[in-house]
Amino acid sequence: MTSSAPQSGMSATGKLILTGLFMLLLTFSSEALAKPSELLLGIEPEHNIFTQMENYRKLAGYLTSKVGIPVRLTVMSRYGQVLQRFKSLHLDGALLNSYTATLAIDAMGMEPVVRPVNLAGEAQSQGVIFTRHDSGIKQVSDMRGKSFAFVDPATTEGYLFPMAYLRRNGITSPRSYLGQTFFTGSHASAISAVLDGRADLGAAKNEAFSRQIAKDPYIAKDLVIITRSEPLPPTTLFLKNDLAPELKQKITNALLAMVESGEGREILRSIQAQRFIRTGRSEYDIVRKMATEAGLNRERIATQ
Amino acid sequence: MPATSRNFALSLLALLAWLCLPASLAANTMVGVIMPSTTPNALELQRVFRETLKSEAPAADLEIVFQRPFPDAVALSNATRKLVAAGADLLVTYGTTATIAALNEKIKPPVIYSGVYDPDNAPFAGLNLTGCGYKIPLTSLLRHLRELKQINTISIVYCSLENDTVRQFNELAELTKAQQITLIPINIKSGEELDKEQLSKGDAILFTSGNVVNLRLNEMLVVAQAHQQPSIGIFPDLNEAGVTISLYNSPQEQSRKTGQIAAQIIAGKQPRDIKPEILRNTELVFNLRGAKSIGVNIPFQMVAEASRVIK
Repeated sequence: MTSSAPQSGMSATGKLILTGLFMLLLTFSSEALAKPSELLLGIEPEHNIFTQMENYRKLAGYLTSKVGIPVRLTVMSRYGQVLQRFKSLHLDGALLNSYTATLAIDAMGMEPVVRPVNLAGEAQSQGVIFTRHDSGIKQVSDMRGKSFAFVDPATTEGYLFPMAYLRRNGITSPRSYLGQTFFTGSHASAISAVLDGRADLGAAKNEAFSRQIAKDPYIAKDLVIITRSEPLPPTTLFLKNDLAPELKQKITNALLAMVESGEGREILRSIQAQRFIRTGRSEYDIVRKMATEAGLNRERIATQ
Repeated sequence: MPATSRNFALSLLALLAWLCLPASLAANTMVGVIMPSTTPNALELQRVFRETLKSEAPAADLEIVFQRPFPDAVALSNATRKLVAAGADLLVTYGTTATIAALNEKIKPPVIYSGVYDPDNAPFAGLNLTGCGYKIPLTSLLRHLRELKQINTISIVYCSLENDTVRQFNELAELTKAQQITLIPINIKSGEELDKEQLSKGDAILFTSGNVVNLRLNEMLVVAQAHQQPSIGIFPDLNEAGVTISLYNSPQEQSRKTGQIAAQIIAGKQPRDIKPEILRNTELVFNLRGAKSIGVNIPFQMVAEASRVIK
């Protein structure tokens, strides 16, 4: 009985076809990297998403004209879930708050690209814990049993910071120490909850706090800030790792150059910014430190 | 021991035992409650108070007597006298005017107030007094109205007979002045004709939290409807009559706290040893149906903040 030896190699024709297919695939994928048909960027929701979309639409229009492909923006349903959303929404990038940004760096290896300098000239954010001036709450010992309005579990200023602050001050289980706690979904809503008396305490980013006061100066008389966080990275633009480097560069350059033109400055003002500046991963070490202090399970929050 | 002496000793022992019993168990305790007749949801507040008191002081032999006079000083004083004459051991008064009326009678039983606006600044004091009040951030009322529409003038409804609404009105007068809003005062009393023309002049109507204001709410909402005026109230719009925005502390919660305080006093605690409570946690309700009927669109971001929405 004879048996043929197993074929260890491929025929010359087979190799040729496979090489051809590989070259074809490489051409397509390199074309896809270099020239996607459009760029989709995610933004995290603010208090008034209609105004937010209107303002960011101008930015998208500007980028479209500078980058050469349509740039579209989508408001992500809520904070957090950044990892899933990048996949499910097929995002090419997103403007992320420092908490979700840290997750994006740690879990997806993403690179921060640019961050805005706000109208006050600050390129950093800060968390604030506040109360009504007549609440009688001045320190942590006064907070026992009091209601607290957080923003979202996936925000640094609106959740991570107050949790870390309470633990730093000897409260091992902040949610048990406080009375009723709830998430308002936006920084402005957390401020409003305390103003209305729906919560005794609240946490939000200082920029939202200042913006509310600018809109309604009487708020400044009603609220008092109990404490502030260390400087934190503000909302920052992240781009997908597999985006073509030249496209990333084009986007970065366009954003950095916005301040040089009247049109660019006008759009910057509409998103409450003076200009964009470069940023890097090391900016997020403070957020990791705060998450450890807060004793929070970041992976759990990320998937909530 | 001779029978007479034995009987005397036993009687003495029984008397001593009776004297040593806690006050709460020694005899029937009468709790007199003065709740003005027009208090909204009065039956519900009575129920919450009664149930709380019975659950917090289960061993006490309680008699709870309610008086529901009209909320003017004379009627409230008469109610106080009646309850004291009937032997009330403790008096519970709803509202500042009722509390003042009771204190003016210089009565012996302790007084527990309830439903008093900003008790820290209420015009009463006493060692034999404690209670539970509430505080609403009045600036929020104006802020919410401004979020709805441009407000240059505002009709503020109050009742000069009721101290709580008068103090709210005075605070609002200062706030509107500081915010360059022209105030149109509407002082309403029961039985008097409503000045509909004045009421309709404001860009919006603000209802202070008073009994008479509540009593005539529907009548005023008809005016608001006819003139497309949004309205805001410092009390729950229980019948969903059409107040556009309501921001209030839960009256039921105040009644519950009052019941708890009463139970402590029945157990022998002195009023001066019980810290008065001030409820500050509020509920925010938007009546979308009412807003739509006057052509007002409540922005989505406002609705998102509501504790409850009436559709």
